Amino acid sequence: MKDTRITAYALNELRGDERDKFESDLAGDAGLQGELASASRVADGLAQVMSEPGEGLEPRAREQLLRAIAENQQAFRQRRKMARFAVPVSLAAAASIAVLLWVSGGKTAQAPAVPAADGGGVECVLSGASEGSGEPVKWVSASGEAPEATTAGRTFRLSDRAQVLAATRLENNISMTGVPVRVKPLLWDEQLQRLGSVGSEPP
Amino acid sequence: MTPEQIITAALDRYERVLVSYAREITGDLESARDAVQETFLRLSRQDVVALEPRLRPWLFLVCRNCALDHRRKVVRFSTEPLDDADWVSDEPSPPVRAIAKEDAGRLRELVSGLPRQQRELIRLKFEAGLSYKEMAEALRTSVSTVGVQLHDAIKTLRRQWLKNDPGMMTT
Repeated sequence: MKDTRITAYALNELRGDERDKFESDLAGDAGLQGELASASRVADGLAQVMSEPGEGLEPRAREQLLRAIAENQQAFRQRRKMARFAVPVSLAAAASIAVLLWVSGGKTAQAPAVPAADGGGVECVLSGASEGSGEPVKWVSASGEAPEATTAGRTFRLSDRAQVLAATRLENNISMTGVPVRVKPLLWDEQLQRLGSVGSEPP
Repeated sequence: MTPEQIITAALDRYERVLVSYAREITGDLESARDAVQETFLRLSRQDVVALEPRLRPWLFLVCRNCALDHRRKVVRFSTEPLDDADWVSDEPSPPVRAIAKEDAGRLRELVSGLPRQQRELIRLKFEAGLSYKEMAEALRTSVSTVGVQLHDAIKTLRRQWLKNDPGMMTT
């Protein structure tokens, strides 16, 4: 019968209950003891024979390898630093946008829709008023990611196209702290009419 | 330890064992050295600190793959087709040259006569000191398979090495 426990025990690979059971079996079995003795002797012989050091790398190749290892590890650390820096910046940007939208949504002052000078524009307006001046401030949802905008008290869902337009019309100095920034009017987008919520009348 | 220190320590400790292990697969020393260098280059591109708890089986697994790649590259330029089935065949390797008459030499010769898979396990266990679990991880097999194959190898060696020893019972 193939008892792989013999070799596993000789190589110190049996653990816990399995080892206890084997040792219990050993106690009353002379044949098993003999097999274990010979397996242990072979294992001891192999440990001696196989432990003799063999060939290694050539010294020059080894030096080049160590240099390459140092360079690769440096590159790895650089990549890791860049990855660590990118995540908080993205999170901060997303948080600022969320705060901006939340703040604007909580204010009560509503600015009426103002048609653009070219005759086709409707501003997507987030309600609010600039602090101190009382002047209505109009701004577009930052980067076009907000799903909704309010115009003249009515809520639109921005179409993908409108979001792209919004993003491209944003002024470059949009504040990351959530302070509203005056932006240019958007062109009228017929899709605003077709979207789920009530839309304002085109000019 | 810094990552570089971990890698350097691993190189100091496992360089020769890995070259010997790879040589068993590639059949020649230079390809074996190339495989080991490639192994440590790949290690240097990893998060070594995270890898450290299982570094040893990782080294042998990657070294094995690199050695097999080298072996396949050699085969592509040869006229004889060779597939992985030959790697797992039961054919013994060519006999080791200049075998001494004492027991150690005889035992080493007997090891070289084992099937390839069993020789590989013997090297991983007795040259590299891997546990069953680490060997299973390096060879992408189960612990029980490692146990069975190693048992068969030891049993064969017991029978052949100790057959003339009156004090030992063998099956």
